[in-house]
Amino acid sequence: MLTSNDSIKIRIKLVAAMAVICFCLLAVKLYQVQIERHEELYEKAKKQYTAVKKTYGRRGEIFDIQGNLLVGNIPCADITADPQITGDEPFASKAARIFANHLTDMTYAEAYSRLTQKTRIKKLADGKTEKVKNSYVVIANNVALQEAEELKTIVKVNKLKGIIFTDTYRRFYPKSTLLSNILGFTMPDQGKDVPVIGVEKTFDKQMGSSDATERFERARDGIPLSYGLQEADKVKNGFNIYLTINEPLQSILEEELDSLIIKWRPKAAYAIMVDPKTGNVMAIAQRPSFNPNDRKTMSPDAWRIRITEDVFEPGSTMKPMAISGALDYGVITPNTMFNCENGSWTYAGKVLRDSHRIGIVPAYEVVQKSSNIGTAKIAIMMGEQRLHLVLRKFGFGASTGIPVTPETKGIFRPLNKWDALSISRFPIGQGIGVSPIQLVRAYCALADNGNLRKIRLVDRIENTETGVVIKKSIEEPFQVFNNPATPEKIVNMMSLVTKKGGTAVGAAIPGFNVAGKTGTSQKFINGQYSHANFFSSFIGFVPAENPAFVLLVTVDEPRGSYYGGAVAAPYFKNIALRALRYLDVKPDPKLIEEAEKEKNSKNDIPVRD
Amino acid sequence: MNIQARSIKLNKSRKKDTTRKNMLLKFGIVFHVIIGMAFIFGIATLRISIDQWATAEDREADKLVRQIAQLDREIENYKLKKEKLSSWPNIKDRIQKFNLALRMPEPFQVQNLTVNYDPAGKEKASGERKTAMLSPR
Repeated sequence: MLTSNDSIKIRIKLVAAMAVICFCLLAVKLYQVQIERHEELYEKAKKQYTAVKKTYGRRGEIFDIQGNLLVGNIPCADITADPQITGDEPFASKAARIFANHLTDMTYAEAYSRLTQKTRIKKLADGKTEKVKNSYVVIANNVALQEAEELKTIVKVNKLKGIIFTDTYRRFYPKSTLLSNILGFTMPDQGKDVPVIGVEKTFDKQMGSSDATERFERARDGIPLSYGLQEADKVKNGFNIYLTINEPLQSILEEELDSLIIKWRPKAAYAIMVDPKTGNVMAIAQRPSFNPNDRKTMSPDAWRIRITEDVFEPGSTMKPMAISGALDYGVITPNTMFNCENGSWTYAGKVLRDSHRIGIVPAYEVVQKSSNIGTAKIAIMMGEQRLHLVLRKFGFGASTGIPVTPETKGIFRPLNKWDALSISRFPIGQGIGVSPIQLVRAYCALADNGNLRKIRLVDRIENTETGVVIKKSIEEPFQVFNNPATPEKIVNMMSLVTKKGGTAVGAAIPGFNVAGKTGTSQKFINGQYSHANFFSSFIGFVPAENPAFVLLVTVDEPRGSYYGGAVAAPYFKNIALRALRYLDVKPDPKLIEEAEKEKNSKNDIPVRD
Repeated sequence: MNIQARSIKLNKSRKKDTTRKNMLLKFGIVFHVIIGMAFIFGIATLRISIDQWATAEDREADKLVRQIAQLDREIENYKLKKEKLSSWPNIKDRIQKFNLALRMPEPFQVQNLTVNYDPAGKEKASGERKTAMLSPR
């Protein structure tokens, strides 16, 4: 018979056995979970508590020489949604109403259809399609920071779940059209900025950034655990580029160019200002142009860089180079007399004309009155070989060094391809093609005692992470002239162009000696020179004795008039006057007095080139 | 007899002593185990509380990092806004809008003023100078 003690003992044993069994089962389960299924479950768990965060590097910014920002990165946000969460009513209509009210270019219907797009069509490898679950829709990209912050608050207040705000940056051009052709632009492509043209493209390697992926173990609320796994690549931000451009001067140049466009309604126009002592581009602009912030204004015709890509016949603006060569070789002096044949002269079977009739005049008047016949005769005296060499020395037929692509080398025939007419036509800027920047470079050599320099557009590059600044060096110039007296002679001759009796009195600035040259060239269309389509130019430097800058103004097909002295010269004056004041270059009081006297005297009819 | 009686007593007392000893020994072991477990428990609790504290700090740091990032973005936004507003077309529009009779100074109205400043006495040696531009109206 069992006593109560025995019964307790049995129960204890049963419980103990049960406990042992349970423990064994637990151990088995533990073995299965911890040993057998370790890899599988560990990966599953890791996925749940490991977060991956992508950090985007910042593309380098572009500044002017004084540190004024020209291109930056504006903070904005991308808004996305998970239709599996947002796709039900009344949630979807509420969210759609909020987006329609706060986002420009977003209608209620559009927002609603995106928020409720629970499935999407997936194309299979065999070409068939199938409906799959959709957990990602883009509501809006590049939403302005303030707008995005407002929306974020509204979404939070309304407890709308499944809407994600991702912080991003967008390329932004705070000065809109200012310098847009040279700066170029980028196109967004899968979160990256892909450069299309301009400095953005040329310096993409330096300005480009790299992204980084960060993997970390997180708590329930998404915050990284301090004792968890943390792996992160390093984000590389792009370098900043400092251009040689001076923003205030650029503004002056562009403002005047806009007034020129209004007055002469040309097909295109460009202006370039370069410091002849360094080769630094101080300002550079062209029309048509575009606003890089507004994709609607961007057509290839507007964003093409005409200043480096286009080739035009320089016309009379070529004369000072040829004549300076003759002076340098000692073939002529400024006072050598030339018979300009009263405006018509036949050479190599072709008639060469001047736009005005002049007879026997000294060489300086050939420049002042822009005689084609006089210049051709000077070139003939110099000879083909020397003329070819001189023009080569001035950099025609070669690139200028400006770091903008594409850049044309112009059209300059090798000596063995010159015909009988070449020697009479090339020195007057016919049959030769130059880019605007090549012409400016050649004039920089005239302005800086014959020193031909490479054109500089980038002054320095800054590593944003280390703060190290790499200054782009100014290369040693190439000396064009053999005779050190030549620059002064040619500059004096060019100064007469803007004086009484010259072709560009409209470019004269009271108180300053302006040395320059007008140019009016007929366009070569369908194998012949057009009598209706012209390039009108004026290029010069001021003060002639110690130039602050070389400035070119070229107008492509102006309407109403076409002479460089009438169309381009007045805008040269406007730009130069404002630029000199900005640069605080003081006028010469004696020259102011002279200008006053000249103003009071009887006005002469200006000579045309 | 006495001896037996005494020896019985002695045996009894010896047994009692052994039990007490065993008890003490057991108690000692249990005590050590408890101490050990308390120590482990203490360490674990400390670790947990440190982790908790670290997590709280992390959370706070993360919050601050996010705030800094947000402020950086706002600063960047203001910087670009400032650049946009300080561009010449914008200034020109404002001049026209408010009908301000502004004009450029005549060349001889502009004076360059060179100021030698000496806040720490170092500037003179290094030859640093501050130049201000005066444009009297």
